[in-house]
Amino acid sequence: MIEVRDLRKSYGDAEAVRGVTFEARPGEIFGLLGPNGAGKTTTIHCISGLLNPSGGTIRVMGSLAQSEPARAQLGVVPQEVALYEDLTARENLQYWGGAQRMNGSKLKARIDEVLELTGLQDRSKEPVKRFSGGMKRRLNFACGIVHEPKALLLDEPTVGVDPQSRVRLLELVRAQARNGACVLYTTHYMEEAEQLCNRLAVIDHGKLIAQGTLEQLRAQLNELDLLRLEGVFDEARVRAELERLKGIEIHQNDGEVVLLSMRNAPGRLTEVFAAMSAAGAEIRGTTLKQPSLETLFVKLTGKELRE
Amino acid sequence: MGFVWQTARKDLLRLMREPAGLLAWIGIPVFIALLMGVLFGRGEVRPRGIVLVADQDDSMVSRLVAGAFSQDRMAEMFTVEKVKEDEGRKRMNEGKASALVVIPKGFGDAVLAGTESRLVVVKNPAQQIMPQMVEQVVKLLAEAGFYLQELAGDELRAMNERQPTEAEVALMSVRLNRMATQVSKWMRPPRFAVETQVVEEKKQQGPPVGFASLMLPGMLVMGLLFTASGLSMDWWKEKQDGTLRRVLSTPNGPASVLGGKLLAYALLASVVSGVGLAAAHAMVGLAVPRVWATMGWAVTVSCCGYLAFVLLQSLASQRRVGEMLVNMVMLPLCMLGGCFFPLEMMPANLAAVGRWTPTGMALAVMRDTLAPQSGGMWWAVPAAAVTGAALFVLCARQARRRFAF
Ligand SMILES: Nc1ncnc2c1ncn2[C@@H]1O[C@H](COP(=O)(O)OP(=O)(O)O)[C@@H](O)[C@H]1O
Ligand SMILES: [Mg+2]
Repeated sequence: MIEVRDLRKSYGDAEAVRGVTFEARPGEIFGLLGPNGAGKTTTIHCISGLLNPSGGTIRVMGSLAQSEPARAQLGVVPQEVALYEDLTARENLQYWGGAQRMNGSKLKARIDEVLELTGLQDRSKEPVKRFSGGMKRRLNFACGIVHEPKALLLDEPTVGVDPQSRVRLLELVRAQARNGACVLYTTHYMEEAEQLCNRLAVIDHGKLIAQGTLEQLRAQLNELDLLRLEGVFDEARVRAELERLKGIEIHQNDGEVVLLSMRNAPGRLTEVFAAMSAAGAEIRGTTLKQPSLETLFVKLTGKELRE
Repeated sequence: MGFVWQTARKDLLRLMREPAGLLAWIGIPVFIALLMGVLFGRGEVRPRGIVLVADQDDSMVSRLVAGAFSQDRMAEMFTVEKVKEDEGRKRMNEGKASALVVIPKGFGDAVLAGTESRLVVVKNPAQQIMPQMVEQVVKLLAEAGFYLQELAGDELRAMNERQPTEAEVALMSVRLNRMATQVSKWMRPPRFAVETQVVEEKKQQGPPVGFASLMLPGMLVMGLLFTASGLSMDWWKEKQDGTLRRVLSTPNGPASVLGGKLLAYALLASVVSGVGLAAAHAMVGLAVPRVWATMGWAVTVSCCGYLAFVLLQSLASQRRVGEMLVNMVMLPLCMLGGCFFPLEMMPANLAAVGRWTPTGMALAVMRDTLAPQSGGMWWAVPAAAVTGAALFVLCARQARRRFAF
C-alpha cells in the first residue's frame, strides 16, 4: 500500500507538485499519467525518500516514507537507466540485491530467476555497456525487483524501448501485481496506461485532475469523441462558423490545427466539413478519436498529450 | 558492514575493468620522479657526504687516492677531510661521516712495486647511498692502480723519485680518475684488496639520506593523491548515471555509501603504497617494520586526502568545476609540500611555507616512519584520524544534499 496525502514539493519558488493525494493498493497497478514536467518523477522521489516533501504525508506499507522500513519494502525502477556499465548484468543484480539486504544462496537463486524473467540469462556475464537500450531497460527493471518488493515504483520504465522489450516489460509489471505487489506506474503513454492500469490518476502541472478506474474516467467523458483537423485556417472565421453548431466544443484553434470534441462525431462529419468550408478552410488531414484517456486529457486540460 | 564491503568491492571491480585511469594516476608521479632524476642526476638528490681519509702512507699514490674524491662529479657529492685514523674512527662511531678510508703505511710503495697491499673502507650503516659510492670509488681506484702500475709503472716510479708538486699530483689525479672510469670495464681483478668494515649501528642521527627518504615519500604521496583525486571524480559519474540516487533509495544511508567508497580507496592506496614500499625494500633495503609503519601512515593520511577531495567535489556545481577545484588544490600542495622535489632543494622561504602545508606535514611524518628509528611523530596518527572523521561527517552530509540531485 502506498498512501500519498496532499503531497507538495517546491524547488525554490517553483512548485512541482501541488497537493497530490492518491492510494495504490496491493495487487493493483496504479497509473500516474501526465505529460513531461507534470511532476511524476518528483512524486516518485518523494515516495522513495530521496526528496523531502514540502508538505503532506506519505506512507509505504504503513511506514512513513524515508524511514528504513519504508525503504526496505520499496523497489524503485528509476526513469534513467541507473546501472554500473562496467559490471556485468549478474554483478549489477548482486550489488543491488545486496543493497536491499539480500545475500547468499537466496540472492543467487533470485538473480537466476530475474535473469530468466527478463530474458537476459544468456548475456548475464557481459558488461552492461555492450547491451542494447532495451536490454538495459530490462536489467534496470530486474535490479528494482530482485528483492521482491511489496511496493514497486516504476518511473516511465518503457521510454525508448523497442516494441518487443516493451511487451515483455509490461508483462513483467503485470506479474508483479499478480504476485501481490503494489505497483505505482508513471507514464506519458496513454495506451500503456489504458492497457496496464487498474486505476489511475491524471496529473498535470503538479495537480491531479482526475482519478479512478478506467471505466470511471471514461464515464466522466460523457462518450465524447475527439475530432482533429489539420490544414490552413482563418481562426476567427472558423470559430464563428463552428460556434453555430450545437454540442461541439473547441479545444484548439490556431490556424493549423482545430481540435473539437462532440458526441457521435462520425454522424456529424458532414455538418462540420460544411461549416469549415463556409469558413474558407483548407483541410489537409482529419483524425477521429473515440473516447479514451487522451480525449479525457484534452477535455480536462485543453491540450493534447504528446511526448 | 556487509553493504560497505559490497560497495568497495563493486568500485574496485569497476576500476579493474577500466584500468587506464589508474595507470595514469600512478604513472604520473613515477614519470615526474624520473624527470627529476634526469634533471638532478640519478634519482637521488645530491646530499653531500663526508669522506674521512686517514693517510698513514702520505705518498704520491695515497694522495692520488684521496684526490680521487675531489674530482669532477665526485666533488659535487663528497667533501674530503684528512684525519688521523683514531679520530676518524671516533667520528665514524658517532655517525658523522659517510665513510672512512684508511690508507696504511707502505701502501704507495706496494702499489708501485706491484706487491700485495690493502686499503680499509669503513662504512656508515645508517646511510644508504654514500658509503656504497665511496666503496665503489675505492675499488675502482684499486683496479685503476693495478692497471696503471702495469701500464705506466716506470713513469710513476720516476715521478715518485722526483718528489712531485701538489699541482702535478692533482693533475695526475684527474687523469687517473677519468682513465679509471673509462677503462674500468676491461679491468682484470685487482692485485690489492679493499677491506670493507661497517661501523656498528648507533642511535640514528636523522633520517637516512638517499632515495628512500628523499624521493620515495614524495612519489608515494603524489601517487596516492592522484589516485584519490581520480576516485573522487567517481562521485560525479555515480551522480550522472543515477546510481547514487538509486542506492540512496535503498535502506542504506549516505554514510554507508561513503564508507564503501572510502574503503575501496583505502584498499587501493594500500596496494599502491605497498608496491612502492616493497620496491624500496628490494632496492635500498628498507626494513620490513618500517614498510608496515609507512604504509599505515600513507593509507591513513591519503584517506583524509580522498575525503577532502570528495568534499571539494561536493562544493562544485558541476563535474568540470569539481575536477578543476581539486586540481587547483592538489597540484600546488604537492609542489609546495615537497612531492615534486624535496623541501631541502627549495628556496628557504618557500620551504618554510611548504613545511606547514598538509602535504608537507604528511611527508615529514612519512620520513620519520621511514627512518630506522622513529623520531616520535606518533601523534600524527590520531591527528589524521580526527581530521578524517570530521571530513567523513561533512562528506556524508554533502553526499545526500549535493550529489543526489
Ligand atoms: N532538481 C530540480 N530543480 C528544479 N526544478 C525541477 C527539478 N526537478 C524537476 N524540476 C521541475 O519540476 C517539474 C516536475 O518535474 P518532474 O517531476 O521531473 O516531471 P515528470 O517526471 O512528470 O516529467 C518540472 O517543471 C521540472 O522542470
Ligand atoms: Mg519524469
